[in-house]
Amino acid sequence: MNLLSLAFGNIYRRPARAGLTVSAISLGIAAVVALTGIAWGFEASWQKANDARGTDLIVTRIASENAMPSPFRAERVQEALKGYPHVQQVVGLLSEMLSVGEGSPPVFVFGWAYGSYLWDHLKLVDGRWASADTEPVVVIGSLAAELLHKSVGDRLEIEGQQFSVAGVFESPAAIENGAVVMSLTLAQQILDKPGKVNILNVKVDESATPADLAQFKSQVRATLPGFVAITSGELVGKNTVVRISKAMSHATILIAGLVGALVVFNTMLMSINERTREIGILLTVGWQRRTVMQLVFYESVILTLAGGLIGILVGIAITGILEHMEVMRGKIDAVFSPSFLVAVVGLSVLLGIAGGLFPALKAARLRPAQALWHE
Amino acid sequence: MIIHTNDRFARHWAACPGRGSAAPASIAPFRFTSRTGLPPPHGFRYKMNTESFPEAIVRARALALHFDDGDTQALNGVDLAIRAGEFVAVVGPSGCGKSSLLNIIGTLEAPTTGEVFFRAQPYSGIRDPSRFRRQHIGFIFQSFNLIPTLCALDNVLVATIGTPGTASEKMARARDLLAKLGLENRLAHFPNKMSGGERQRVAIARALINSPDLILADEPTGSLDSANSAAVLTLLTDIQKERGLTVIMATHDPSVSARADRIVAMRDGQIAPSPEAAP
Amino acid sequence: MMRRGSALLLALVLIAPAADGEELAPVAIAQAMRQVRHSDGFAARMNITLVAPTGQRALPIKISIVGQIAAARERLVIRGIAPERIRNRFIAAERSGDGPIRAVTYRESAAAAPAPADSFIPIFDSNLVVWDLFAPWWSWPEPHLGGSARVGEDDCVNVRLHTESAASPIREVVSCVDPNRHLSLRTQLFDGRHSPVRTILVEEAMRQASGRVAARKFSITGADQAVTEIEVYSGDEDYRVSSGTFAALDTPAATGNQPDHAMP
Repeated sequence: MNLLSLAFGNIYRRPARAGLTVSAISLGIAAVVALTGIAWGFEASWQKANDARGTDLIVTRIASENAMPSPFRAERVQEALKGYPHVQQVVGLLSEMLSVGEGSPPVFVFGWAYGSYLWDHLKLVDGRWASADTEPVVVIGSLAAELLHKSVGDRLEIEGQQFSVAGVFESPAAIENGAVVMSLTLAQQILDKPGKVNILNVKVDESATPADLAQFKSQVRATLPGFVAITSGELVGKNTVVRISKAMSHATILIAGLVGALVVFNTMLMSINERTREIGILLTVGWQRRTVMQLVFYESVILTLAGGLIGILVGIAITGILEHMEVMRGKIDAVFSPSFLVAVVGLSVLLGIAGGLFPALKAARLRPAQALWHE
Repeated sequence: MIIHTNDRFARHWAACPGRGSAAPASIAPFRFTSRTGLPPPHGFRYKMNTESFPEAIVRARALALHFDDGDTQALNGVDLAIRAGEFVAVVGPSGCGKSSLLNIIGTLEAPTTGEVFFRAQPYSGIRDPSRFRRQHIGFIFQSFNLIPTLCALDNVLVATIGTPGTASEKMARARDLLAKLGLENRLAHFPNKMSGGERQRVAIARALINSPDLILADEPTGSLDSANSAAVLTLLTDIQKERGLTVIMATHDPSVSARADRIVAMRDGQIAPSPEAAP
Repeated sequence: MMRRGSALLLALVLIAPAADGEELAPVAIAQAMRQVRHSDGFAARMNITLVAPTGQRALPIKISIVGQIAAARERLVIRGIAPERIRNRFIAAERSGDGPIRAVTYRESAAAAPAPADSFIPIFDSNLVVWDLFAPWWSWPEPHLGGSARVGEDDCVNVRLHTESAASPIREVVSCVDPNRHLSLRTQLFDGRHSPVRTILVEEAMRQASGRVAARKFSITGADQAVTEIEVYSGDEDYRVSSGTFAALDTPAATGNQPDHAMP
C-alpha cells in the first residue's frame, strides 16, 4: 500500500467513468498524433524529395503564398548562377498540380531538365526513360501508376495532350512516387510556359562548405533582385501545404489540450465530491494536505497517461488506415519521431496536472471535521 | 513499546520557524477549575498541583466554538485537564459539545476562542496539524470511518502513508496489530464483509498504527450491540493499560463511561458541575 | 522585364491598388479597377463545371485564357484544353480604348479563317461570357456608391454603374469591391429592365507573387439559376506574348466583320 497503488485503486473502482475519461483523452491525443504525424510527414516528404535529388540550394522568386513558387523565366538567372563559385549544375524544374484524365484526383506533374542530375535518384522499375528531350512520353511514379491505373505503354492525357507512359519509377520521396515526370521542355510546352521554371536546383561541388552556401545566398540577394536562394529545408518550411498542416496540428494540440484538461477536471472534481468523506478520513489519520493533492494528481495523471498512451496507438493506427485509403494514397506519409511521442506523453502528463489542479486544491482545502460528516 | 513522543513533539516544535531551538519555558501556571468555579468533579483521583501540572498531556482553557456568526455555540468556555495515561469519558446528551471538544483536541477544528495545550505546548503554535495528528493522536469514530474500497489491512496501512519506515516494516506492524485485535483471518476482507465489531477493531488498529499518545474515541460503541460493545471496550482499556495511552472517549452510554478512570460531564457546551448531574 | 502582372484572369478579378479611404470615391474606384487590369501578358488555366438548376453536375472542362491589357488596347484569347470536343477551339477578342468589343472564333487545326462571333455568347456553354472578361462597365460614366455590404466573410462597398446604350444587353452593373483587398467580391449584371442576368461571386481568393489578390474560385449564376463553377488551377502573371498569340485578330477574314454589339 502506497500512494500510487491507492491512486490506481481509486481509478479502478470506477471503471466506467475512468474508461470514458481515458477514451475522451485518447481520442484527443489520437487526433494530435495523427495530424502532427501527417504534418511532419508532409514536411519530411518534401524534404526527402529535395534531399534525394541531391539539390544543395534552390533559387526561386521571392516566396508567395502559392503551393509552389510562381514560374519565372530561367535563362538569365540560370546563366548568372552558373558563374557562381562551386556551382556544378543549375537545373530548372517546373511543376503543377494537374488532373490527368477524367475523374482522377489531381497529381503533381514535374518537368525536369532532360539529362540533368535530378533524374539520377529515380529507380526505374518498368519500361524505359525518354530517349530524347522532346519525345512525347512521361515516366510515372509507382504510386501514380496505381492511382491512375496506368502502366507502361498506356496513354495519358495531360492538359489536352496525349503522352505515352514510357516507364514506371520508384523514388525515396512519396511525393515523387505519386507524380508524373516529363522533360522540362515538354512541361513548358503543355503548360504554355516556354522558358519558365518554378525553381532552379543548384548542385555544388564536394568542396563547398556551409560558409560557401551562405555566401551563395548573399550573392543571390545582392545580384539577382526579386530572387532568393534557400536550402531545401527552408523551402519546405515555406510550403503552404506544410504550413497549413502544421497550423492544423497546432490547433488540434490546443483544442485537444483544452478538452482533455476539461475532461480530467470534470472527472476529478466529481470524484473528489464523491469522496469528500474519504478525504476527511485521510486528513484525520494524519495525511498532509500535500499528500492529498499528490493523490489527486496521481489519479489524474494516471488517467491522462493511459489516455495518452492509448491515444498514441490509436493515432498511429488512424494514420495507417488513412495512408492505405484509396483517396489518400501517396498524399500522406506520416512521421512519428520518438521525441514527438515522448512530447505527447509529456503533454498527457501536463493535461493531468492542469486538469487535476483545481480538484486537488479543493480536496486539500477540505476541513476534516466537516468532511467526515459529508454523506 | 512506547515511543517517547515528548521528544518528538519537542523536535517538531523546534522545527517551527521563528521559535528558535528551545522549547518555550513553562506556560503560565494553570489552575484547574471548572468554569463554574466549583471544585474538581467527582472521580478526579490524582492530586492537583496548582503551580504547574506536569502530568497533564492535554489541557483546554476557556474553549469556545461558535458557528453561524455566534448564533450556535457548540462550546462555551470549557476548561479541562487530562493526565497522561488517563482514560476519560466525556458524557452528556447529544449536542452537548462532546464531539466538538474532541474535534478541537484532535486539531480537526480550531476553537473560536481559548487554547488547547499538548504537553504544555499551545495548539496555536502547531504549524502542521496533520503531522501532529499523525504523530500524537489516533481517532476512533462511531461510524468506523473505514474506506469502503480498501481491505482491512489497507485501511490500517493508509494511515502510514507519508510516515517514515519501509513498506515491509509498516506491513508487519499492521499485521501484528490486526492479529492482536483478533483479525488475523480478516486481513483481506473489505469493510462491507465484516461485522460492526470487526470494523471497529480495524479502526482501532488504524488509530494505533502510528503509536499515538492520545486516542480520541467518539462514541466508539455507538453502532455496536452490547456484546460487541463490551468486547471493543475491553480491548480499548487493555491496550490503554498496556501502552500507557491516554484515551478521551465521548459517549452517552453510562455502561460505557463506567469503564473510564474519570468522567467529565458536559451540558450545553460547558463542563457540568458533576458527572452525576448528567442524564 | 519588369512587366506588370495582371490580376490573373479575368476582369472579374478586380484589384485596385491599396488606397486609404481617400480613393473610396466611385470614380476613383472605377479608375483603379481599370488600371489594375493592365498587363503585358498573363495566362490562367481553369476548370469549369456546369451545375444545372436541378443540381446535376457536368464533367468539368478545362480552358486557358491569355491576355494583354493596356489602356489603348485589350486582347484576350480563350482556348479549350479538354475534353476532346473543345480542344483547340479558340475565341479571341479585342477592344480598343473604350470602343466596342470584337470577337472571333477559330480552330487551330482547321485551315478555315476566323469567323466573327458575338461577344455575349457564353464560352463553351458556360455562364462565362467574353464581354464580362473585359469588364467594360468600369468605363461607364458616372459610377456611384451603393452602400456597404457583406459577401461571405468579407465587407465590401457596392459600386453602381449603368449605361444608356440600347445596344448593350447589360445596362446596369453592381460591383461589390473589397476596400481592403480591392477585389470585386460580387458582380451583379442587369438588363435594361433591371432584371438580373448573371451574378459573379468570388468564393476564394489568393495573393499572387506580385502581391495582387486574385480569385481562385468563383461562380457565375445565371437568371435560370444554372451555376458555372470556376477554379483556377494554374496561373502566370508574366506570360510572354508572342507575335502569334493574337494573330487571329489581325487576319483579313476577321477584320471585315462587324461586332454584333457595338459599344457606345
